[in-house]
Amino acid sequence: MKKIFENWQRVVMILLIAGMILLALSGFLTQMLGNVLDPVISIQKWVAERVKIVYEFFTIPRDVTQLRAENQALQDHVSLLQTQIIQLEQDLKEADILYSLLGFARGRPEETYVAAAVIGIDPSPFLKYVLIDKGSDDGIAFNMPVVTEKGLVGRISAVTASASRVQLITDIGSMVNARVVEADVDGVIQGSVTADISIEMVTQEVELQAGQTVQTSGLGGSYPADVTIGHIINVNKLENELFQSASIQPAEDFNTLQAVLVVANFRPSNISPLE
Amino acid sequence: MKEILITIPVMIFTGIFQATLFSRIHILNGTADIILLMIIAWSLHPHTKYSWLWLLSGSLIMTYLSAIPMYGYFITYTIIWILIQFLKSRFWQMPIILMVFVTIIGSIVSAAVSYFVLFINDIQPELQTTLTQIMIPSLTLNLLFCIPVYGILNDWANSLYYKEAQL
Repeated sequence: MKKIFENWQRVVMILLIAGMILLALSGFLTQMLGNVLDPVISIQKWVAERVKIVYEFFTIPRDVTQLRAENQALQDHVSLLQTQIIQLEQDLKEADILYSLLGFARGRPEETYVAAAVIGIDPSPFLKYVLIDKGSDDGIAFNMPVVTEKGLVGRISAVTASASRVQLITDIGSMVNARVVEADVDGVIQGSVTADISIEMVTQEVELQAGQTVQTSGLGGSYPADVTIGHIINVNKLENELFQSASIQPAEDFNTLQAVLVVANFRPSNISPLE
Repeated sequence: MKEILITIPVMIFTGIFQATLFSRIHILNGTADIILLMIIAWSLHPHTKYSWLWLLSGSLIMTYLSAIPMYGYFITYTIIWILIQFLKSRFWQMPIILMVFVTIIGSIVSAAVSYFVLFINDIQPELQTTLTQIMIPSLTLNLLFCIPVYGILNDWANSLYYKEAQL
């Protein structure tokens, strides 16, 4: 007891703390604590807002740099995707051409074909020849006919191991025995230096008309029969001449020629000893 | 020495561009002959020593690429090269004018030789059509390309011989 009296300050302190805890637990101090803490919280909020502003002031430029970098990366990605789109469009175009050629080849199962890409054009403006990427190593031989899904292109005029030269039917030196299907008459397709083709040596008895189809006749054995060449666009008929002629619109556009089929199993007949 | 080393690769690349790119650029039916322009430009340079090698390789490549019979390009380019050797010693102070002049002559000679070799191979193009559809358009294109080709090759030859002189 004597000790308690000696340490009365401690006892009072313990009692006060215990009382405060009991008051807090019972909820009597809430109002008072609120009054004390509210200003503190307000100050903290004010300080936090200022700190946030200062923080953003220093960190936002860094974010802009980061955003710019991200933007650049995205732009690079977009460029890459655009390049891929262009590449895919080109592939699609090539695939379309190959599908067309495949369709043509399936339509003539008796013939075997070697597909080739056009890799060059004759530099001489006088001649209409193209270079293709298949040669004797691929089974290409001299004089083999060359076609596309649209019609006749020409014939092989020179061969190396890995490339060949094709004489187009538009070349001035090219002559193809042909037949006007609707008129059932034969003639000869002749090229020119201007790449225009015409059917010559057509007898005067028949009446040619614009729009009639011209195909190979197979005569002479240089080309397979019934391959489309083009359509008549203009008839030149003079009474005082032995034959009539007609300008032909080729079925194939030779300016945009990209891929061709070489008829690999066709062996042209050599009729020169008979001439 | 460097001139000899660069001739074949340069001519091969030019031949590839001629067959793939310049043959597709045409006015009417005329096309530019870049190999001819390169031979002219290189031969006109006062310091080049092996322009005959350019003539030889250019002719070989064009003979390979083209179906012109009887080595038509050999004949054309040789005539032009001899003409340049003749003119170079007399009008050496006016290379750019010579370039234009020889381009005009070269285009005419090229068309004439092509016409001639086709003619003797039983192929007879109509003369007026040849003139209006091929020769004049080809000449126009050659004139369009001759100044840039001259500029590039002249600078190149200058740098090549300047470096060789330094060595």
